Amino acid sequence: MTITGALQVVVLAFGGAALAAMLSSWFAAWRGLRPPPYRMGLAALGAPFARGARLLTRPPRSLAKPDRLLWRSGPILAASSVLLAYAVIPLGPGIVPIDLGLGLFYFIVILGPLMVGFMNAGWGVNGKFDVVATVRAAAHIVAYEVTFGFAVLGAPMMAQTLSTVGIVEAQQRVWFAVLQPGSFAIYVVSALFIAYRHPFDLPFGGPEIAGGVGREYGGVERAIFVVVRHALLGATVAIGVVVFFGGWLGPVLPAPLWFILKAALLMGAFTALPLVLPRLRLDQMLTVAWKGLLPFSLANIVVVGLTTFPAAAFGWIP
Amino acid sequence: MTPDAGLVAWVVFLVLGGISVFAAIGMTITMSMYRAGLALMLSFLALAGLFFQLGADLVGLVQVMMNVAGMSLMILFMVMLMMDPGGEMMWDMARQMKMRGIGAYKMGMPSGTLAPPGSARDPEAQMMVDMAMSTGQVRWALPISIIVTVALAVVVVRPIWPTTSQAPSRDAVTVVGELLLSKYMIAFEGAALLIVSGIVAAVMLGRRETDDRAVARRATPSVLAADGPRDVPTSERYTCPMHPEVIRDAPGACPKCGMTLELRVAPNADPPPLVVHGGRPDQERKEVVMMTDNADAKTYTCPMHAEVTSPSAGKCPKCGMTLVPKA
Repeated sequence: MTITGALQVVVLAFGGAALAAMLSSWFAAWRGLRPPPYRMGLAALGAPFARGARLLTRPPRSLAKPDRLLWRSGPILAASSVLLAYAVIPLGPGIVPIDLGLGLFYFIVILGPLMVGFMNAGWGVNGKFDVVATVRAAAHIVAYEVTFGFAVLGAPMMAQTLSTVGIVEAQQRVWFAVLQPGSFAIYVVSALFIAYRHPFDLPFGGPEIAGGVGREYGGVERAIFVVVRHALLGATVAIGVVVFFGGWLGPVLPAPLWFILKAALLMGAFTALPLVLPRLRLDQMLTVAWKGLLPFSLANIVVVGLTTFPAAAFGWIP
Repeated sequence: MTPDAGLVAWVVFLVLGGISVFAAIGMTITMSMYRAGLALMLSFLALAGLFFQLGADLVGLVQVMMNVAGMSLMILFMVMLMMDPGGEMMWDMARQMKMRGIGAYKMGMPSGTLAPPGSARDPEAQMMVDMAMSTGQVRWALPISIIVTVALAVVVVRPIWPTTSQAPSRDAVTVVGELLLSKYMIAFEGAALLIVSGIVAAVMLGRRETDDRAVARRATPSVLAADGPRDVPTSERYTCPMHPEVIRDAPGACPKCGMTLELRVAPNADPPPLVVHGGRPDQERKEVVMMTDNADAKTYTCPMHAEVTSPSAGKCPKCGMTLVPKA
């Protein structure tokens, strides 16, 4: 990876995290968790930065009896995993850190260690609630990895490549979101899983497990953890734009701007969900994943396979 | 000056191989099951690094995915099913860090025989005996593992491995995909079928009895067998946990709050046997002894209603107080 590529990864990760944080903060204000937008106005957008600055000035925390190695490894593992995931996101033609032949598969795989980081952060604390959070985190990866894989599998079936650049270029005529509405629906649900966003944020689940994974971190470590969670949403949305909305493709505006615009809209939709959806219980979450998503995604593969023939006949895909 | 490519390859190989081997050793000597799972994961991830070094991207990525998810699953089951995944009982993970030496047989653990009851052995040492890693099997396991290691080394070193000048395929996905759906299709689909049947069998075996009627059928004889007066007709045995006035003779939902009706235990039924999970063996034994002592040819009476007597401990049918042993 070149230096500009590495720079792009860092900028994109922090940019995605900042966008996700601002949007979440905006919608949380609407929801009434923070001072409402008519009182905060655009200041709601600055709230995450104020929070970050406050965290960075605090000292790190120490615990009574942690498994120190695991506990300290949590933020590091999570952060490096998310940064590596950004390496295959193409911002425009030729503006991609690494154009891996296996890009899409790489993206799915590299988010696995992130979850291990979350598990370590929970387990290392050596507390009861944190063990519960760890179990939830472990149940999470098993629930989403297969369905997410099946959801984005439709794109390489039509594009004939796993490269993220190749998948974008295959959508010159029609977006895959139009050709594969089923895949897109599965992607939306499983992306919320991957990003630990609202209906599926069980490992971090609010008051009932006292804040969940990562609750004991303070100072810089907590800041890393918060940024990682928001950057994770950024990465998930970015891959969604690549796979379903034609990445950087668009008229008039320059390519990276199109990409950011699409990503911001999709992220806005994701962050607005807490307004309308309640959080699911663990068993409900697992039911959704195993009994709903998994059979649906298997059936969807067949549908996408059948769609490929007419799509190719009409010249919608290369 | 650019470093020699061969030298770099050797360094990468030695580092990754070293991580793999030492992580595997770490897995065997740690007392924490969680750490053991992570160490195994690290060992396999280092192997994935070797695959990447050889240019086998697809195999490497598959290795990472399968092992990260697989080991997380293993940890999940450890946490859910084991009493003590942290090592050394009671979720306490700080202690195992202080153990000295390398290898279970060097940890200053007692030999693997159980102390006779009543002997003055340190209960903590006794506790460690109960853990699998400190059993007397070490003296067998050690020579066996040495023999296996030597045999494996011979198998690896002796044969002349075929070498190829061909560069690894750039498009491994296509090649592997075509092979899986042509030459190896039968094997591939057969493996899939085998795994699915294994999953189905496991689900059938592990299925909990959720049918209320089946649970009730099994629970009924013990209720009926309880001695002493019974103020509840046997036909009305289901009640709401929140509304005791709701009594039904069949399982179902409470008409007031919709909760599932629970089996109502007859007042004089024996208390369920006390099972102490995660406690020390000697404590558990004491509990059992205490219970048998109490049940031994004593009669119980209510502190408020002297006319109530019962051969077993329980609640008074008139006022619900706990019966006390009759002097």
